Amino acid sequence: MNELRKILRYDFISAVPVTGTFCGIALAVCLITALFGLPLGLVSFPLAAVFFASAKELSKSSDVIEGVLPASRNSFIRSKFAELTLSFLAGGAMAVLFYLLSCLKLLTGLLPEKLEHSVRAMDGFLDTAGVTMPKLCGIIVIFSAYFCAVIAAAIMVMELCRHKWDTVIMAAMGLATLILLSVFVDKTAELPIRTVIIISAASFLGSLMISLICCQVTCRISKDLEI
Amino acid sequence: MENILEINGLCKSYEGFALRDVSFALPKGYIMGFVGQNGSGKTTTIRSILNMAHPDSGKISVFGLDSRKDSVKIREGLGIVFDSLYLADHLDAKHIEMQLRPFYSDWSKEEFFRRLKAFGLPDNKPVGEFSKGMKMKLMIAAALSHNARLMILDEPTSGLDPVARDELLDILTEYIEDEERSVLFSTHITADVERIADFITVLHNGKVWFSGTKDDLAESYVVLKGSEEDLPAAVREKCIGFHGYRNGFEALLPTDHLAGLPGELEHEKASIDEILVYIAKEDKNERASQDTAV
Repeated sequence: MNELRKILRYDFISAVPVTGTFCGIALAVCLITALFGLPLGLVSFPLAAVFFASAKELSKSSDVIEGVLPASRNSFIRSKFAELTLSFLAGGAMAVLFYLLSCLKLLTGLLPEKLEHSVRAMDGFLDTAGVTMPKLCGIIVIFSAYFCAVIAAAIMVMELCRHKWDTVIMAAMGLATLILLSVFVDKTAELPIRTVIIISAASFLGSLMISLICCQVTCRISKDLEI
Repeated sequence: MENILEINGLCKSYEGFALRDVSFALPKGYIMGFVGQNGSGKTTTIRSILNMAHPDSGKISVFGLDSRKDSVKIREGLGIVFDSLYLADHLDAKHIEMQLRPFYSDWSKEEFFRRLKAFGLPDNKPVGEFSKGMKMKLMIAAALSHNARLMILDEPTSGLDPVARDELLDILTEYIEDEERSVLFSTHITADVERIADFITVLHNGKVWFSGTKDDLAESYVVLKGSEEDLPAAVREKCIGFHGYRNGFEALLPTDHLAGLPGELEHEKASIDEILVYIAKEDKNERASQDTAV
């Protein structure tokens, strides 16, 4: 556990100078716009993905670092899954929080009249589309959980294939995501709120389980693979 | 002498290449030059020491610990310098220090920055913008900051200018002064080895061709020159990398076979460079004779 903490810290220090400012500013913008009633905070979910991708990629010049630092191979693998899970689920949670905050419309009254009208019109648009606040929150959680699970599976496959098929795996993952999302978005309006909430809770727990299982499988098999 | 590194019967095969029964030991307080042609197996041996490659058989022990079972503990006492920087190259030295510090119980922040200053390295510039020599020094500064007992360098001087090479060699010589630390120094630039190494291991085609003190190697081989007609057939068989010219020949000869040589033949001490060249020539000769036989 101690090793895992050190590696997470290592990766965090790598990512902060590059994406830290960008993510910080974006989060501040999300917060401010949420106070004015604009649900821009939904982008904090992809932001987490950006941070995750940069953390792992920027932390080293090569894989050699895994053979140099005094930490076990398993800790390096666990750190990848921990970063993925934390970023996506935290990203999803933040998106929900910002959305909830935007629903309170704490500072909407301070907006110029035209803009205030547009903000209120957005609510009307979502209502017409059959997407209520709890449903949208559920959808965000489902999305973040889905991406977390799919990327965990992709990391496992890429590690086990020794990164030989990365492009193919990423393309397959992207295609599957597009198909699933188009079906899901199409059907969401018809789903009752309770179903969406149950699916979102199940997705959240499911993605945690998938991430954990992928991590354990990767650790078990990577033990015999060379760096 | 207590050995800091021991390799016994290391075998590792890849497609088209194999390390065969590699064995050598590095005593505490000395520098070992690990030489051989490109592709002779130096990097595979180093990767095996670091548990990055898994040997098919054989045993590697560092600080008396098993390289497979205790690799994390071993790495805490190792300073590793590769020919390219393995650290995050968009960070400056301050951030690098923050990253590395938690991994080593003996890490000294003061020592790291003292070394940076001594090596003339800026701490506010991305390390990716450093010259190759500066990157080497940064990796050495990191190694010295956690009190590494064994420094392993893989081709550190290739691509360095003469001044940077000279500085690096001075740093290594200073590093082992307390006689508690050792250096394994892989290179194909033999002049560096001749300058600072106490021990030499010559790797050729995945096998140890020689391992011992630098003086032993220097005393074990001579370059023999003269006319082919004056060379006795029995000695001809012992020659390594025999190369005949229109007016004579040149070959490497183990000093054991010097006794009784005709006075017409000349011999002189072989440098490490010459030894490597003659070993390569011997390979060429063997391949040529196999082709002729076919």
